[in-house]
Amino acid sequence: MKVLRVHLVGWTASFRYPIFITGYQPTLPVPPVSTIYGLISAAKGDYVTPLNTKVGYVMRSEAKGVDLETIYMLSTDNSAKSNVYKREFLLNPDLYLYLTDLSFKEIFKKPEYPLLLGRSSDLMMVEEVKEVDLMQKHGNKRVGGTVVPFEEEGIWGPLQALPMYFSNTIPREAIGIKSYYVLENFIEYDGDSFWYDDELDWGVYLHGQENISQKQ
Amino acid sequence: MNNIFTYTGNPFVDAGITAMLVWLDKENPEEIEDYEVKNLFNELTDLYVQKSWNMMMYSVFPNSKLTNPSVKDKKGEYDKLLNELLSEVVALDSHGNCIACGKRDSKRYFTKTQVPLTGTSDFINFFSYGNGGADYCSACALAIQFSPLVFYKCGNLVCLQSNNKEVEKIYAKKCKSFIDVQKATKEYTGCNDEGYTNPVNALFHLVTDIILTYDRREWHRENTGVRLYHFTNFNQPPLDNLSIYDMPDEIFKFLAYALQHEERDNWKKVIKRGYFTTKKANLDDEEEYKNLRNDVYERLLRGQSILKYFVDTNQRRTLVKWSFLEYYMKEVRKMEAKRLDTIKKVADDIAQVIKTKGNIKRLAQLETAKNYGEFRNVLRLIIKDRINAGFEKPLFSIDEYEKYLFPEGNLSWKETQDLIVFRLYEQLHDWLVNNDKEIKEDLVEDEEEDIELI
Ligand SMILES: [Zn+2]
Repeated sequence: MKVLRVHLVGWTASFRYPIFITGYQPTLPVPPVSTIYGLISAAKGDYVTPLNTKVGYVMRSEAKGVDLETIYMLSTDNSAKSNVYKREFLLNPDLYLYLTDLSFKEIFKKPEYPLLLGRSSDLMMVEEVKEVDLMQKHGNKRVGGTVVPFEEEGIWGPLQALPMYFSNTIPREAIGIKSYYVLENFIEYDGDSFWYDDELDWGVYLHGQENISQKQ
Repeated sequence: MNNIFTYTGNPFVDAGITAMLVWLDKENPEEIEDYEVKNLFNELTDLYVQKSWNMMMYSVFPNSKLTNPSVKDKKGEYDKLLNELLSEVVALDSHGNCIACGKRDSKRYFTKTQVPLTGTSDFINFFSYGNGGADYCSACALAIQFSPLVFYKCGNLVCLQSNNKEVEKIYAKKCKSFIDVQKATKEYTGCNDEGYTNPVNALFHLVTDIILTYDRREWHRENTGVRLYHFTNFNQPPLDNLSIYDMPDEIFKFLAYALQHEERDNWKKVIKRGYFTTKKANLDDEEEYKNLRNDVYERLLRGQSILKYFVDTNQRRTLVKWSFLEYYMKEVRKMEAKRLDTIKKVADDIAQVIKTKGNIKRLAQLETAKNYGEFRNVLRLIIKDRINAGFEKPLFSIDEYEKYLFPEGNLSWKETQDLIVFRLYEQLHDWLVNNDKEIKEDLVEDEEEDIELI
């Protein structure tokens, strides 16, 4: 299958656990699918969802660090208090993005908005935009650096409830929340639910339309 | 109405669901009926108002009706909350904005008062669209109320999560029997507390307990990871009120292997060598060392080698057998079987030369080589020894050398050295002990050929 592969690199990335609002903010080792759709939307300058393109991704980073950060807590009466948080971040994120809609090629060559991976300070740069062939490869392949739905047989890892994308309505709503395996490291996988990138020698899990229940 | 609950990936919701499953003696979350949940309310409220449990609620549900001193009827008020939540519960749908299950909509907003680590309504910019709390459906919020039943005390509290739901249940059953004893004796002590304050040690202790209590032999068939959320939800959160500890599946499997192995006691000796001790700590008394940091445990969780703990370099002996080490190298360190076999074969041949020539100095040189070049040179000298001693087969082929002994040259030489030395100790220990006198004489002999490098 022909797909678009976009290679992005950055200096830092940070993915909040949606459930924790507390003094210590751990980071997920890889972004949730919703962050990926956010990134593509920024590149396009328009709202992109699983209805537009399926996405797969493999993200790695070199290390994890902890930063101190001033945050502002707004109250309902419009007052704001500042506080200090510890925030975990990932060093030198390296992201390979796969899109089934090849027409997105141009938007990554000239993105509409800055490309961020996590927070407003986590700027990403496009290294390469390329059409590649994903293959079906039976038997063992290494897979990781991504999230995979909990129901997927032959996959294991820490679990986390994560959204798939957000609505563009006001208020925003998280759509397609479900339990995902969060694969930080690569594992050996034997099934056929992943496509295979021959050049980079890893499996690619495509998140897309049939994986979500329609709300609209 | 059943089909209310399903595993969500949210640690607190899933812990509560697991507790309900064990208390109701059921297999799957989907089987739990609403009236059955209601039947558990009395037991839950009874427990949470007991002094020891109520103290704990300050770290779980601060500012709630359970902890507010002005609330006189804590049991009644908490029971009211549970019933309210239950009355709002609807069956699982296919979608919804609940941030745990995603299969139902939230009917109200929840803060840390009902859901640990969710912040207060003072954080409106952290919630979706400036709402005064997090979007949980009432069923997931209700499940969370059961999670303290299966918390573990380790300084702060621990919420255990695993991809292997059987593991979660085995652990929850232990919690239930612990609480049953409290109920029977009317001596309430709060959630399980075994005196651990070091979460890494607690993680290994809990996993060991899970593996041993339910002496299953099939752990190797499954990929079981265990994660601990170590947290406090106390009112004035310190910065470090949450940390996450992960035991990857290969470490879980390795522990299961080690604990069910005939060398189990030797494995325990290896662990004991990992404690950072002062002379004062008595390693025969678990209470004295169980909260000391342990390098073996920490290395295993960090993905670093514990090879050096398998040998006693002072006595030149190994603590475990090669077959045990082999499992560790293959399954945990992911070393190729062919590489291990080649190293073993080469080490065995070296052992034979050392014995034949009585040349203990070579062993010392292999042990102390400081870099790749030095180590290669000792191997070259051993090849010469072999030729002198009349051995016909070479120590190794070029192919074996490049592919298996030092596949990455400089990067892999140290691991090869450690493995060769391990095997030499295993093969030579008795011989070394029996030839102690000759060995000492040999070591003071002349120091020819040492400096020569390839
Ligand atoms: Zn829910």
